[in-house]
Amino acid sequence: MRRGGDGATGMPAPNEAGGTPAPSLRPIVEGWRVQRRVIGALILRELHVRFGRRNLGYLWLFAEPLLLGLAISTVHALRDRGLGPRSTVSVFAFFAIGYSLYYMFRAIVGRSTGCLAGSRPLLYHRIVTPLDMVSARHLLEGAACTVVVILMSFAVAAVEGLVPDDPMKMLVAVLLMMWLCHGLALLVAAGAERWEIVDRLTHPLIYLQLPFSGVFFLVDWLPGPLQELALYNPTVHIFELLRDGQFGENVNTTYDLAYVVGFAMAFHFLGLCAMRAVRPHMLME
Amino acid sequence: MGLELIDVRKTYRVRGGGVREVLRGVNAHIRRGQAVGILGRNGAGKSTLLRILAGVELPSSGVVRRTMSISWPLGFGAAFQPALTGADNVRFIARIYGKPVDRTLGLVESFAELGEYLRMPLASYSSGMRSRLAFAVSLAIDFDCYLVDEAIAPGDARFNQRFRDAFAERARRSALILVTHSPTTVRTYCTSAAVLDGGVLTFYEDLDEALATYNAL
Repeated sequence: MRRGGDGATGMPAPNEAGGTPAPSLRPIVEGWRVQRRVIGALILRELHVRFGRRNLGYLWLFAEPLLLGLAISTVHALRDRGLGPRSTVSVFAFFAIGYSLYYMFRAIVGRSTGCLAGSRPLLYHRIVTPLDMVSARHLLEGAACTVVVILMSFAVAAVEGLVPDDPMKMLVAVLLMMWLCHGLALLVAAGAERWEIVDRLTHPLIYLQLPFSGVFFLVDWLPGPLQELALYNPTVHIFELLRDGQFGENVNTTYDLAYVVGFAMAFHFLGLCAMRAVRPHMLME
Repeated sequence: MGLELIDVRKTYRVRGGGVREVLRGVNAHIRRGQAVGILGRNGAGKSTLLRILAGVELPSSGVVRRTMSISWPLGFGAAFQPALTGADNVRFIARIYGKPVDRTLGLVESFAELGEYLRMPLASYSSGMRSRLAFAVSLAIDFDCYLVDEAIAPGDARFNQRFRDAFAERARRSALILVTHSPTTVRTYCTSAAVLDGGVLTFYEDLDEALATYNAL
């Protein structure tokens, strides 16, 4: 007797030919049109569920990361007036923009654990796939954080008179972060739906990786042997790129974009497989 | 234009490593214009079959071929988001199925007769109100085939009459698949019937024959 899709191996259930709800069976253009429509509707729904229908509710999407980012960078700026080797940059500017980008990681990966469970009623509509549910959230969080990074850049320019050296590099850093988080969050969302332990471990792990993420340091500031170690983490490269765009010649940065893209592609691919594999395990009452 | 099942099987793994076979090779071909009642005892796998027909659950093996648009399984309030208002739920459903939002909402407003409840969170609805909303939206979306799970009580007598009328009007271009354990419901809505027993679905041309078989189970 065949024992249907073993979630542990991450493979989809045996027979997908049957009732596959995937738009992928339609011509690609039609599928893309449907998916765009569904994701658009999901984004509006997400806004309504999270912020209600009062007009200013949506502002919290930006206000929360802005307030947190400003508070954290102010605290750091007050504490570390002279940063020794770091004194070439403004502490406030360093943390304000860095933390805004880090917030995207927290918002997308951290919130991904409950996403599928919270959207279960939507499964009654065949054209809504788990991938749509998760992607809609990621787009919303990603776009909000991009706006926050831009607003923060203006704030820094206004307060410190520090204009970004190369905004394009910063934008690329933001987009890479979004891509990396998207793939990783697909994996986490599928995993959390399948095994409770993933849900439990994600939050402490996100908290624990904060010091290693690159948001608080430049690789250049680390002692020699640690530099190499830090560069194994793809988010460190992203923050280095962000700082290069922000401070230009004032700092020494090290990054390898191909390395980040490789990670993002691997996460994305595995994440898509996981989304497919988890669907048969999402039972409805 | 139809809905075809070929040797559809569905097994669930149960706690302790066992396997429960709910559907053991179901074959069916349903076309527009048909109103089929599927009768079965509690736990016979009716709702599972309906979810597979709707494409929201995959069969373990076998083929489901859909060449007409098919509604989600109606009767469940579960297809809605409880925190949102009825109107917002309607807007969302209109959007995902690509229907004009305002027109759909207008149709639902006049059909469901929920009054000001339409602007209240779904969590405050009674189960009758939820199913009224579900039927109203699905009629507004205008599917080729309606899947109805009668396990959850539909609206009151007045609304049932409206649904019957609305359905009679589109009977020739739409299909209805109604899952129930009530012979009366089948007589009211359906032109043919099938009995689901032991994981196998048997179709009967004649309603009386189907009901007699079902009553003898």
